[in-house]
Amino acid sequence: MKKDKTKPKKHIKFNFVIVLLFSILMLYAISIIVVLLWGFLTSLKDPIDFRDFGNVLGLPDMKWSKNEVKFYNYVDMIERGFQVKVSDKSYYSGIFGTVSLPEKTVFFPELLLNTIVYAVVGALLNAFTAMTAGYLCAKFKYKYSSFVYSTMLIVMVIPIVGSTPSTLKVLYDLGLFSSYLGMLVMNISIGGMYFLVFYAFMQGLSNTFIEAAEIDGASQFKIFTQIIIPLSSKIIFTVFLLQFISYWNDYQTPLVYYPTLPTLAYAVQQNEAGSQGGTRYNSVPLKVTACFIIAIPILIIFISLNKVILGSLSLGGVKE
Amino acid sequence: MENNVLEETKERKKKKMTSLHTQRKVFYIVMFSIPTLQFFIFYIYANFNSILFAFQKYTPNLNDLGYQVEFAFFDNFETAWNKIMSADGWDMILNSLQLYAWNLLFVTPTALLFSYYISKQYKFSGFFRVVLYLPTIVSSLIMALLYKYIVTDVYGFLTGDKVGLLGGTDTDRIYYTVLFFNIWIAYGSNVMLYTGAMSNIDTSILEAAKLDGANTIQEFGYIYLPLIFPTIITFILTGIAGIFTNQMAMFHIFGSNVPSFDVFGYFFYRQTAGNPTLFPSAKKMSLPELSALGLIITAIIAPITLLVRKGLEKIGPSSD
Repeated sequence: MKKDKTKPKKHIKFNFVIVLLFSILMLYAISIIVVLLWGFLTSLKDPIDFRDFGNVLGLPDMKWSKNEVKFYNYVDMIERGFQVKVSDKSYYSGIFGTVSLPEKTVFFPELLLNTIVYAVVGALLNAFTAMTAGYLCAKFKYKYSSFVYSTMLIVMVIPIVGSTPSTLKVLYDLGLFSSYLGMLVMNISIGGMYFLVFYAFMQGLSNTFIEAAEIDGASQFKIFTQIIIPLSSKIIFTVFLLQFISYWNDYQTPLVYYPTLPTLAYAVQQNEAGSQGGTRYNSVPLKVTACFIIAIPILIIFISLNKVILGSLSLGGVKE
Repeated sequence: MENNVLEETKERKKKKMTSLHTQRKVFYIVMFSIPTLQFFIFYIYANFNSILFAFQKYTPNLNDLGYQVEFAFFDNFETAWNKIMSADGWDMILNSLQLYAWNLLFVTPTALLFSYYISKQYKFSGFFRVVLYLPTIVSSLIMALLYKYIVTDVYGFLTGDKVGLLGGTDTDRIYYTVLFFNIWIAYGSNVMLYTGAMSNIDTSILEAAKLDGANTIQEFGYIYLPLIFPTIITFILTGIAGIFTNQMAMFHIFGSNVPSFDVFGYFFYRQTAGNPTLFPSAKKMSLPELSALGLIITAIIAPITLLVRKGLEKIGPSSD
């Protein structure tokens, strides 16, 4: 028998509330897209085109583009524009009264390296620690597990406003201030929300696998690496992606805790703040180009993986 | 004979269990040790130290770069309290509260309606979901900078007002331009979590409501709202907890060039980022004074958060 492929038609009637919501959402979506599109077009313009000829809204006029290269601003920004002057002196002398280090200028390759260490390794450590803690608390019913769980809940509810100064001092006293090691150590944190996500997920995992492996004589480490990690790989990946994106975009933590290891986002903020000379790099098209250089990798990740990012996390674990 | 075998098996089983128990314990301790150590240093110790810090006074040595530390009694708290009670302190509080009020009374209801639209999968809901989340992905720094150039350069180009909406002396105009930005980009994480919560609603309840002839408004008000109320509570609470740490994206937009109004989150960040100082001066608050300020604010906001939580749990709609 031939299957009737047509779905039963919904009875569609004009619903004022829905039409109104649709219109508002559409206007909102357009506002976001227009801003991003304006930014992208501006990043293709030469500063002369933008400033002197008042081409603020039009398409880029290619006759002003140097060397006939359409993406000249991008090349120029990566080769020369991205730079942060780092002066260790100012960070140390005021707070801790210690020696000053020589000043230096950090260019794109080093900025990228710092960003990768901060965003990739940091996010990996963070996701891994939250996952480990979630597993230990959910599957090992010791008193300490419930202590950690309730502590994490309390930590999430109580806002602690003034711990930055003290954290700075702790980092400094441990010799970790503005170092890669400090960057990584700060990220071995159990975390708040993602710990709860992992905890809920681990609780939902059946004990049968673990018990069967234990009977077969597998070590706990083997169970962890060969059963638990593969089973939670999807959720680890999602948490990693979300953390990666937020670290990639974060300039405020590096600015406070790792001022001598500037990242790309840090460079964008410093360029905007005008701490860097040269009018060309301070022009709107070049500043927008800098924004897009750090936004494009994230946009590509988001567009290709938006289902993973938007769909799979909930405090009740992973949704299939 | 048989008894002996039984005893032996029991004994072996017991031994195996004990060894398994020890194995589990060793694994647990090893895996938890580093995150625990990190938590104790960077959370417990840092926050405890922050309390100590608030009672200390640092004086620089005259002949070398070292310093002297002495017990400051309540001096730092007095300075911090005077800051809160000063005219600009009150202004900062009012600005932060106003932003929160907009979030609570405008963003939350509209975000809930948007989430309802998206989770009912009306037209373009997948597209809206992605676009609404874009500002969160692309980083608020970049959205803030693009917005800044638009309200300065594009606005200037269109109206001839070269100062733009963020310049000049009209404090109200600058304030509302910044406020508008904050509302504009607030939807991403709100909508993601609300739609997540809405997708967990049991479809049989929705079908039952449909059979009973519930219309859109009834379905939203009597089914969706009560069922996702715990998620709404979480948002309201994290909002309250963050009232005084919310920077209103002002560091993104203005860097260190403070406009004619201020908020505590921005103030606090400015004081710790860049060139923080241990020593009291008229120009800048010292780190011990900032710790005291943080503690005062925490002492005000933490009980409020907990009280509101209790209150909301009592008056909230029941999901029965």
